[in-house]
Amino acid sequence: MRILVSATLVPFMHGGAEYHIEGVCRALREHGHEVELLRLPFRFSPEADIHSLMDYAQTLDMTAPNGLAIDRAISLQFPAWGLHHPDHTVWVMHQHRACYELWDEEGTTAEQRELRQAVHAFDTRHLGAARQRFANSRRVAERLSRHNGLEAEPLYHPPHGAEQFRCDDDWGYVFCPSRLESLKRQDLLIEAARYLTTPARIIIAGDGGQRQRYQALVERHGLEHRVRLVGRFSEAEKLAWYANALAVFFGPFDEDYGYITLEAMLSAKPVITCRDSGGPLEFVQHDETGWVVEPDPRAIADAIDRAWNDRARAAEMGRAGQAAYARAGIGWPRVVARLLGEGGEG
Amino acid sequence: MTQTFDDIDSLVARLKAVARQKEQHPGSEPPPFAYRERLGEMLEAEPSPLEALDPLHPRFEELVAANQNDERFLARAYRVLMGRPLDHDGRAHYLAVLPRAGRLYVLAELLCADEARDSLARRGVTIPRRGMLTLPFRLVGRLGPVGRVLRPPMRLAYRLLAILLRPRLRLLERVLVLESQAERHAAGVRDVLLELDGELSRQGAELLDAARQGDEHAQRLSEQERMQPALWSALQHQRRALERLAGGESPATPAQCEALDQQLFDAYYLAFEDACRGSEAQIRAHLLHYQPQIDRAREAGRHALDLGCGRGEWLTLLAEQGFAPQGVDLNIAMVEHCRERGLEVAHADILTALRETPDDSLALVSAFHIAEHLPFEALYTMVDEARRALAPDGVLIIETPNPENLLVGSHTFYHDPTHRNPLTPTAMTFLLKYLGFGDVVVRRFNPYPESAKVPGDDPLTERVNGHLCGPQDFAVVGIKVSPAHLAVDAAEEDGA
Repeated sequence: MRILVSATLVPFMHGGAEYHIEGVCRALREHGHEVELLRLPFRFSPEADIHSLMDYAQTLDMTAPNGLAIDRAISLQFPAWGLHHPDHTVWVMHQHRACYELWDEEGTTAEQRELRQAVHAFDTRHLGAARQRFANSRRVAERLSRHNGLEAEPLYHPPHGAEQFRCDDDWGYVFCPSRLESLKRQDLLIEAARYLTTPARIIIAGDGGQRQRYQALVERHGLEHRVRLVGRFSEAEKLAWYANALAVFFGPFDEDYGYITLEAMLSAKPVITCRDSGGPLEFVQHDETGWVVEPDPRAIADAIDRAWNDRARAAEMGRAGQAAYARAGIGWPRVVARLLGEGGEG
Repeated sequence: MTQTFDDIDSLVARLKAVARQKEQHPGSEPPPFAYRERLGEMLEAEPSPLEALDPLHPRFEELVAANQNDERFLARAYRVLMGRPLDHDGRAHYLAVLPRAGRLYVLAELLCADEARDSLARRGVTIPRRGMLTLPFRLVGRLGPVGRVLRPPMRLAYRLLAILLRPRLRLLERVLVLESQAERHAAGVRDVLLELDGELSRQGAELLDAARQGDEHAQRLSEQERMQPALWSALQHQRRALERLAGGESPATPAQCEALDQQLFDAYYLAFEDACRGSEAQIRAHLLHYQPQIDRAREAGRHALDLGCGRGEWLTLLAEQGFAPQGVDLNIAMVEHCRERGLEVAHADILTALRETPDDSLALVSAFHIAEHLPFEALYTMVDEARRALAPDGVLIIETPNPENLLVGSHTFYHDPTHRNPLTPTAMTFLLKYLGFGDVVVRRFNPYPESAKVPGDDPLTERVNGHLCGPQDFAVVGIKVSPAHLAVDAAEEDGA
């Protein structure tokens, strides 16, 4: 089949989305399909840019451009799903978050309010018209249902290099890999270090806009002997950090999906997450495969102490997480089957 | 095993080291046999738990526990309704009440107690049919003193109801237990299978590796086995040379020293042939190329002389085909080697041996890989003497490396330290014709295998392949023309 995959491109800002887009293209090709990837350049501001990109996307009729018939269209990102194709599948990675779950009525401008209205209408119309609708996670599906009144089937995909994760001896530290951004809330973990009653250490890996603030926070509380921001890491280092961790902390605010949870489960490590973290809650079962706690440093500290005080139990929870991952049947072949409407549920 | 680091710097450093090591030697240690653990968990029989399957939503049939004894029923009721173990007083009291009033009554009474009410509310537990079950209690309670009179009939009613419902509740509980067991087992089986799948693919990869290593080892072993006879025979000839020297009592004269040197060299050359000339089977297959020449020679008689007979492969073949072959070689090690095999071989110079042969006495004279060792005068004499010694229609075969193949002419020819210079097919043909041989033809053998050739069939590729991968040996073959032939030829010429 000829399949057109469409997404957006934010030049030189690479994250999980790149892996996701490339992953789905590769998986489709490996199943013997011809795949073309269409990426629309995206700018977050000014508002007029987003308006014009929405308008442009709507003009794209991809049924048979230049007389060459395309069998399927699969769209992953806003506003690429505005294009037209009679057999259009959307797999919503996430919506334009600034207009949805990150919207804050306070201090908004008239332009922003107008944009929000337009985005909602655009999504409701085009996502509603798709022949098949999937969401990156249950969390994303919930938002779609709440804001646009549309149902979508959650469709999970595996993290990069899923087969490489391993579990080694626990070296008594909590690992937290993420970009250093406010939404990822590493500050909760740093603050938690102040309330620890056990000698557990905290390793925060990754880089980002909040690095200086987080480093200052560590120094302000004199936590240098406990908390370390280790910065960027290689692939091998990532695997080693996971493999020897006591537990993994991943407590972002309302995450869409979150590879970290899955990577921790693949490494057989229990996950400490928060009640409002979104995506991770679909996988972490409190007291079974990790701890779901209030987004409060004391509660997080308590979970870390519990992991430290019964390390055998923590390891057992990690293994339970690994088994849960295996049971969930997360893999590219299933993704392809669902996207192309070939396989049944399960 | 867990490990704790005294300071965070050493922890970070250690982890980076581990990461580097894994990067350089990926997959150096196999993961543990996780499936055995899962299998063990599955095989462990689990007693029916006190806790309800879903602690927040216990099922009615779980509470009644119709398939279990009174003691277990009470223990579960306490655990589910009040979140605590059965105490001694409660146990004694209810074990006495149960035979008279039945389990539904006991459950209702417990549900009406303040402790259960508080505990259920605190833990957010919902009990199905709670209202219906406790309704009589509440009504009777409201009636005050009159209610006391109504208690015994109420108890009886509860008991009758319990008896009536028992078969159904038993069945429901059984189904529930079976369902949960089946679910747990299915999950267990799936886990074990997944683990096994991983384990199998890991072991498959290991087997593949081992097979590859095995192949390499086998190859190295066969190489060494091929070298072994050469080493043994070299060793033996060294020893024999030493014995000959030690046998003489007088101090070694210069002549003896020279003899030893020659013997040492002969031993070296035999080992060299053993190591480099290919297996006997290979050589035999090659020699069979000369079947047409053998057949032709047979018509001229059965005496054959092989000049420079070496290890005697050709002599053996001729003997099998009904000839009475003789060999001659200057190399004492070769001569001994042949004699041990029962072949008739003289230790002599080839020209001397030829000169001693009467005229017209041989059906076949052969010289395999000798010509390139000789100075031209000797080569000339050899061909000339061979013609004299051959009977009419006798066959001469001279095989030598083929310098038309550039790699032979420039490289492999020089493996042998006793080679002089390559001979060309043209020069050899002329030599035979000049010295009176008829039907002189050149035969070419042993090209490189197809796999060594440059792929393609255009003229350039063919030329490259011809020059680099073409036949590595050639033979010039001639027939001693009988006087009769000459007469016929002359007659034909006359008639023309």
